[in-house]
Amino acid sequence: MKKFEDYEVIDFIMDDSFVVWATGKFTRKDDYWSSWCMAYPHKTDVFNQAHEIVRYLKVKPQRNLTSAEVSELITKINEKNKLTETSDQRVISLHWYKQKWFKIAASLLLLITVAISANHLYHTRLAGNNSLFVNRFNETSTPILVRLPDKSSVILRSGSQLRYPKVFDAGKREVYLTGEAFFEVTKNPKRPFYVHANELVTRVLGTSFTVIAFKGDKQFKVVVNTGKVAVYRDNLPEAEAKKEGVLVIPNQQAVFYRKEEKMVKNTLPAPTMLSKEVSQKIFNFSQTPFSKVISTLNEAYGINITYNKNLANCLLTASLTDQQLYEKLDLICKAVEAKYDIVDGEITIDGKGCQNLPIIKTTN
Amino acid sequence: MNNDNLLWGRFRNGEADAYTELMQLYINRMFRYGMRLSADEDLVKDCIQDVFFELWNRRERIKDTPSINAYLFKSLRLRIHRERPKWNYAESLNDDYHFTVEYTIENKLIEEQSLQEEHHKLENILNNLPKRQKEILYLRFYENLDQAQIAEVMGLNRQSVYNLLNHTLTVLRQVWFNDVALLLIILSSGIKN
Repeated sequence: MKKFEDYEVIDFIMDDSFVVWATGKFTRKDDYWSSWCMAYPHKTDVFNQAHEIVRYLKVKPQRNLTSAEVSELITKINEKNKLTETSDQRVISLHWYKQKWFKIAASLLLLITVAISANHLYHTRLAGNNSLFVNRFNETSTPILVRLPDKSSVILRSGSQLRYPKVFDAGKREVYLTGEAFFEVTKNPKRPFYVHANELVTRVLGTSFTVIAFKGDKQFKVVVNTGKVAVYRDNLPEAEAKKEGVLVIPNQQAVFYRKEEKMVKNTLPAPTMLSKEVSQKIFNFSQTPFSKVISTLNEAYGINITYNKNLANCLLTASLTDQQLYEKLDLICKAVEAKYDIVDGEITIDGKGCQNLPIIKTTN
Repeated sequence: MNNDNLLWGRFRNGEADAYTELMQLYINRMFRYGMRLSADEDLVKDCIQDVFFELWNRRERIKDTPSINAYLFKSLRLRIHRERPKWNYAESLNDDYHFTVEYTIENKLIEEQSLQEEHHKLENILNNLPKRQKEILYLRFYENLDQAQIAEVMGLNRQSVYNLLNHTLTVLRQVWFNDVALLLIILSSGIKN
């Protein structure tokens, strides 16, 4: 503790009892600090300066939470605690997350979950089968690619069904899903994009994410790669549903427990393949053989692209981190003077190949 | 202080009541502070939820802390810094942090034009301080944290907190007191005449 003789402005300001006194919250008149100056007259200037600073320096306040908002937060936290405890998914300490083996195990686990879910083949038809809508049902064992009217792309997993209008409304884009699909939605803040999956709605403005909602599953999931996504229940009035819904950001997932009708949010132990950080690593190609580029795409999107063997040795230098799959394909094909075709959701690339192995550049 | 320690102890024993009471006591304060670190209300609320969620799930491993306030502020600050780049598309990952706060000098007694200009100048200095100095000033003046608590929240050592604040005050005093004192002398001599 510093001696009073040596007190500077900062020492007064760091002294709680001085601050309380100087702000006038202390009401007793003959208190300690009032007589302080008498005892240390040579410190009067410093004392007065500190007094004035404490008294007049103010922070412009910002809004406080209402008590309703505080209660809402507390309810959400308690619910998440309850659900994670009952389903025995207690948070594993951070030290575990940091270890590599755990990341690998976690991504394997994710794949297995998807594989098991894919076994639930529900051939249910969606109601309202009229000609203004397109119905795609993936009966094959491999994922198929679907291009929507707004140029958004959807990778529809095996055993899943997607229904969408031939022309989207002016004000919103709505699609209906049963099963699992990965969405890359074109940005358009004026026309939000909605995915209805049984009793769940996912609302986005432009981003990429996966929805897993097979009819027989106990839990539905929405996993986000990029952007910000709102997930809430479909069978409630919108205002109420939004209140209990969750906002999901990259590398998080929303899990909806159907029986309990509760929604919680978790952070994924490792970033997804198509998240910004992983994309930046894997989609920056420099003199990369065409075959390697395609296998990277195949792995990241979980699809199967076939191509003419002539193309295999073409070299590619490109940064494809920000485009969706269609745009990536466009750029790649332009670079190697090839064309791609999508028949029944299967992608094939055809081209003459690069005899002289020229250096081809595509940048965006 | 003693009450706080009791509450913390009960919470660490797994008493749900104490946990809820902690949230009641600190959520709004954390929100106010969090909003200085990010303007995204959803992000701040989200991070507060995460802090409390993790607190409950790690309660057996959490040590007795001398300052709950500093502990929670620190957890929130770290989480916002970690999560913010993910939420905001445009921001790059290594973007440095923000601290948004607006300071004002409140003194109703002074209405002279020239003194108002001084005020303006002072406020300008305050609002253009480097973010760390702004944050220290905020934690000290608005949230009433002491030197040790500020050091804990911001991950600095106590001496750095002291030096940074001292530097801020020195700059402030030059404008505030030299000039204002001069003006006061001029004014009071005017009254005498």
